[in-house]
Amino acid sequence: MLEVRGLRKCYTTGRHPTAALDRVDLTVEKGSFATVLGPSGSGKTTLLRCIAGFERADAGTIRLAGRDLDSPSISSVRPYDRDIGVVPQEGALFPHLSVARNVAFGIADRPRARRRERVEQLLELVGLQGLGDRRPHQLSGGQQQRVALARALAPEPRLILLDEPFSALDAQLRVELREEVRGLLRSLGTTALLVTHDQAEAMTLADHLVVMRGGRVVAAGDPRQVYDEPVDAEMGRFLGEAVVVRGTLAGSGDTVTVDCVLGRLAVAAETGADRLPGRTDCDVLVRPEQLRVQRLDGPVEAPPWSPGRTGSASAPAATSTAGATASVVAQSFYGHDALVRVRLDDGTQLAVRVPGSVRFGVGDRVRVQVDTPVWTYAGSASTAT
Amino acid sequence: MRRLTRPGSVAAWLAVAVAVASLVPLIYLFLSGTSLSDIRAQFDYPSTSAAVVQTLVLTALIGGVTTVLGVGAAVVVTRTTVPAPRLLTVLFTVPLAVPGFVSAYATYSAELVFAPQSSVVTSLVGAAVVMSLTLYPYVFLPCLIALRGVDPALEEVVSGLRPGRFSAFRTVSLPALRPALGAGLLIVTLHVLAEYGAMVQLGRSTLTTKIMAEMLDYGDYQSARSLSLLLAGFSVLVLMSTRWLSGRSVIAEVARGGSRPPRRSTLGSWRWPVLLVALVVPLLAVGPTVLMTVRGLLTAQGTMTASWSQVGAALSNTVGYALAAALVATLCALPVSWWVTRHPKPLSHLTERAVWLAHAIPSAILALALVFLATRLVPSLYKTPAVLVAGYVILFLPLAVANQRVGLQSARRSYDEVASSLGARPARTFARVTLPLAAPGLAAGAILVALDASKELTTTLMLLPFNSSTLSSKLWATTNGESLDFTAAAPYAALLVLLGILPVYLLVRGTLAATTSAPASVETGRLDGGGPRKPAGASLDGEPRRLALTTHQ
Repeated sequence: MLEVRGLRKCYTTGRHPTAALDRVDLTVEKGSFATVLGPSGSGKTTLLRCIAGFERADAGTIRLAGRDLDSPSISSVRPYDRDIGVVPQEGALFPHLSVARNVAFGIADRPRARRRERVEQLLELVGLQGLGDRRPHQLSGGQQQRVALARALAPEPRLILLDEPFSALDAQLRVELREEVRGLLRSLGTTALLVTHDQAEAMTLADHLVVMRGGRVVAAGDPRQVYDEPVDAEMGRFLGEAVVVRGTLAGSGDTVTVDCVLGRLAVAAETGADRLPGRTDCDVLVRPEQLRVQRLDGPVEAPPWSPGRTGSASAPAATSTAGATASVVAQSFYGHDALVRVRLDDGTQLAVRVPGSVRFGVGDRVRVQVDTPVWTYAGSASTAT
Repeated sequence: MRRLTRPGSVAAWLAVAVAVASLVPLIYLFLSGTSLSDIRAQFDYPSTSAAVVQTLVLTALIGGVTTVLGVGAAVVVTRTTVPAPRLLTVLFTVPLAVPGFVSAYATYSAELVFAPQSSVVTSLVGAAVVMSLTLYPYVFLPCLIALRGVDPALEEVVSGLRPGRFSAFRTVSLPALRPALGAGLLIVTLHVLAEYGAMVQLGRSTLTTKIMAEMLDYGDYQSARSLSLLLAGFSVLVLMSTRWLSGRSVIAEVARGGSRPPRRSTLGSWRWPVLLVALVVPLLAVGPTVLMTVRGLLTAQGTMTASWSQVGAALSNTVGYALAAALVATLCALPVSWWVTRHPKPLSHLTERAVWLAHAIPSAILALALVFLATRLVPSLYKTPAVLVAGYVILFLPLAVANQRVGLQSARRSYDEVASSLGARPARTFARVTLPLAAPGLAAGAILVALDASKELTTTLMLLPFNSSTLSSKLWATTNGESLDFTAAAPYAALLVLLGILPVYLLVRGTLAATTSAPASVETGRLDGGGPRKPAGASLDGEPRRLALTTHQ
């Protein structure tokens, strides 16, 4: 459906040209919901603006439904000929037009009756029936975004681009609206590409997740896979909580282990020795949900989800030794679960996810164990949390 | 080929063309072969050095008095519990409605009528005070905005850290005032340097009055040109020194978000005396004009009947020239303001600055340059409405640009992009989205150009077509009459003041709206005649109501 190949874009602000996009490749299947995740300055908004036609790429091709929009052989297709709908940040509703006229803006060439019918249909679809006569400033932030979506959908574009459309909303509304918007787009079979810096938003919405950093695509694929099998340690820390510690690889073939401050750990089969030829020093990525914490004078608190994960892993019990001792530094309570922050005796700080019912006091002595295979990486990422 | 014509490039070429065109008169004047020795030769006449000294002394005196009046008025209105602060704000601004030469003429006539022997008004200090009373609002308004914009929390923090009654004012409010004061003083001093009519009425001989005399009375264009270069030098000095005074407005950036009104000191039983003293200022400023105009209109009823047709002719000429100037200025300003708002980069800012530069040069010089150009290049155009309108346009173009910028900024670029993603071609986007959103700014710019053109005296006197007259030229003609009691001038004065009230109303409304709603930023760039500044804090959805307004009299 949407194919982006080798896209490059440089800005020359000041003396040094900076690459906003560096050989970016991207594919979005028809009818799927793709998200581009990246911190600010990663080039994700530039990518979106190039696809929309607001910016001209320096090199590379953009192809939508078999038609070249941008390629070396043709002159760039103008935004108004691209058949791509855009939902900008904050909506950008035309302030001088009513809601209905905003929605009707893109279908001005249709007969009046058909236009009105389509506007009503769309307003109903986004749950705003009867508000067509309102002015944008009379709407709440969430309502404005719904109108912006309806306006973008009205001409039935081949692709919808959403530029951080929920970032201006408060937390509760953001979660509700994004679920609703994805449901709506899925039921319409619309192909959509959303860019965001919110990793929870990116992962919950995406059929296809693309992570950008420094103008490059660093990971792309199924969100679960991108999360579970981070391509490098930095990615692991960017997607959800994680801590990176130094380790030394041991063993070979199927039974690679790593020695680190948490003891001798199993290394996930997908990484291991073949990824790190000839090296023994490595970085070890540990996520809070991989850890178990046990009061030194009490029973092990097993998270309810741990059996499933342990089952899918390759022989954990054989290699997990006794772990490491630590002191509890703080506990953040989230209701359904909690994060316990502990400091290992060597000073390393870790976060451990536990069920909300489990309580620790600051200063409690605990034992920390890893119960699933970990991912290891070459390189020398620092051990900062 | 991957490069294609960017949509901005047509506007860019037009903008550069407009900027160059507005600089052509100045460039021509400088290139027309005046040498340093010509300027030095001017000092062989003792009156030249006297005029230079007089100009500098008046500039300094008026700068001082306007600072005291303007800052004092702003402090009273924003920082004390004086009764009816909003009404006072309006009253303090009202003197802007009276052109300086009208006010000076009326004050001088009032003295002749009521106290003929005193000759206070025509003394150096008296003249400075009369001029200051018409000019202080240019200091008052930016200071008002600045004082309202200071976050009270900042002052509270300071007064918590440092004891002492005025330390908060000194360390927080005064630095915030500095850029505002700089902007205000810039306009005031440029006005003083450029003022012709009022100076003549008040018996003062300055560089500008000498330039005008050389041209109008002696026809000595060579001397006028030499003196003009000297005067232009002073203007450049003023531009540079006020830029230094303004400094970098760091406070204005930090002080956003003060939604609470600022702290006011309690006046207690002093409220009414302070109010009375405050009321004296606008009363002195506009009192003589109102008094003499009303008096003139009442006593003249019997004898004036014949001249109403002249008044009508002058009025219709004035309106015609002013509308033409507004139309042309709006069209010329559009590419400049569009380019600088949509493609802010060094070249577009430079273009805008060039437009402002022409504005900062005294209007006598501009008119002089246009006379030269017209007589040398297209003699058939000399003394035709075309040259007069061109003069107005170059002089007031920045007003149009500044207000159009406000309008175009409310028509954000993302609206254009959304419109084009919805299939609208550029022409439809412009007609359906950009233009409706920018219209208030375009209209405000056009109105201000028209009003200022209708009040302009110096340019009008020099470029007025033969056998034509405007309100200001007719009023000026009465100053050569035998009776200086303002009777003959009254109808013209009344119309000029009426014309002046609308921009004052717009300005006060804009100032109050800008400072009462939400975060106020010191946007003195809107007010000053001397330089474009990036508009601070363009709110995202609120329509900016701020207006740019400078009046050349």
